[in-house]
Amino acid sequence: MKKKNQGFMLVEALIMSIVIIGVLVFMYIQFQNISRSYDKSFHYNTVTGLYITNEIKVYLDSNSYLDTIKDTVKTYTDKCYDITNYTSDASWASLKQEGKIKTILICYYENDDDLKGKRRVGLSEKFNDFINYIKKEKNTYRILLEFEDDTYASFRLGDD
Amino acid sequence: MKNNKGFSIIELIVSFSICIIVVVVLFQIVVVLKEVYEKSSVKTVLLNKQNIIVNLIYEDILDKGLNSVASCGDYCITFKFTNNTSKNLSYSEPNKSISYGDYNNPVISGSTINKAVIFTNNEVISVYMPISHKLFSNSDFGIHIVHYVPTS
Repeated sequence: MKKKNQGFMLVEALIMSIVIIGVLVFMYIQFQNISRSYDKSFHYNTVTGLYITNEIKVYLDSNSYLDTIKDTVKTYTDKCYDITNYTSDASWASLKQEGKIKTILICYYENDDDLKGKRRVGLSEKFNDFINYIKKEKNTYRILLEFEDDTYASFRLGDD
Repeated sequence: MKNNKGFSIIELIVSFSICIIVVVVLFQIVVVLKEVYEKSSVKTVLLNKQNIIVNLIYEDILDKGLNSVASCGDYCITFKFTNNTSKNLSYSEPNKSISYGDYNNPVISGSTINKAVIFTNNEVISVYMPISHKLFSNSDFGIHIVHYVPTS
């Protein structure tokens, strides 16, 4: 019987190509995950953003708004209160303008259901991603800021 | 006797074409990864420099209390604290460095520093020294300080 020598190299090349393409696709997916995490590290909780968030907190504390806001936020179904336009005070407007702030949120995390990732209506997709990304604890209040340059900052406001 | 050893030309062409496509894809990936690596190194350095100076300024503000800010030139801002001390945030074009008080940091090549902007009203003081880099046209790596001083 004659030995068949035809078609051997094509099959080999096809198999190797499939293997290599499979490895490349796997590497690309992993690279996308790393690239996303890297991007997040530059946009989430920036130093400038955190200090500006602290200034907002100081403003709320000094004007005795914080306790009222904390009481109000508990009454909301999704336990998040958008205080971006909380007051028409000139200093509040200046803080938002100079801080290049887009949205200010105060949220209360009471139980496990509140800690779960949710999509809140009225907030941008990226802000929702940030809120779901940060580590949250039960029975705590958080202030969350969205800035115009697509950076975000948040810290705990204290326990209930 | 007929010799059937070897490969047909079509097999060779198809095999080499597949190999060339795989090599081109790999090459593109290497080029993209190299560009991302270089860009990320530069971005990291820019953000580190920004963070260090912002940290130093806010530490002084929180420790000493900020009284007022004033311009001492196009690229210079004086921070005056409540304990009657002051420090300058300035950019030196000849030295290509940004300094705050005794701290001095050279800017990296390709950076552009723009004129500082000050805003004050009764209770809000804001200072902004924009810094951009040619690799990142839509990003800002400037010094941005916003401080609320309650009057009551």
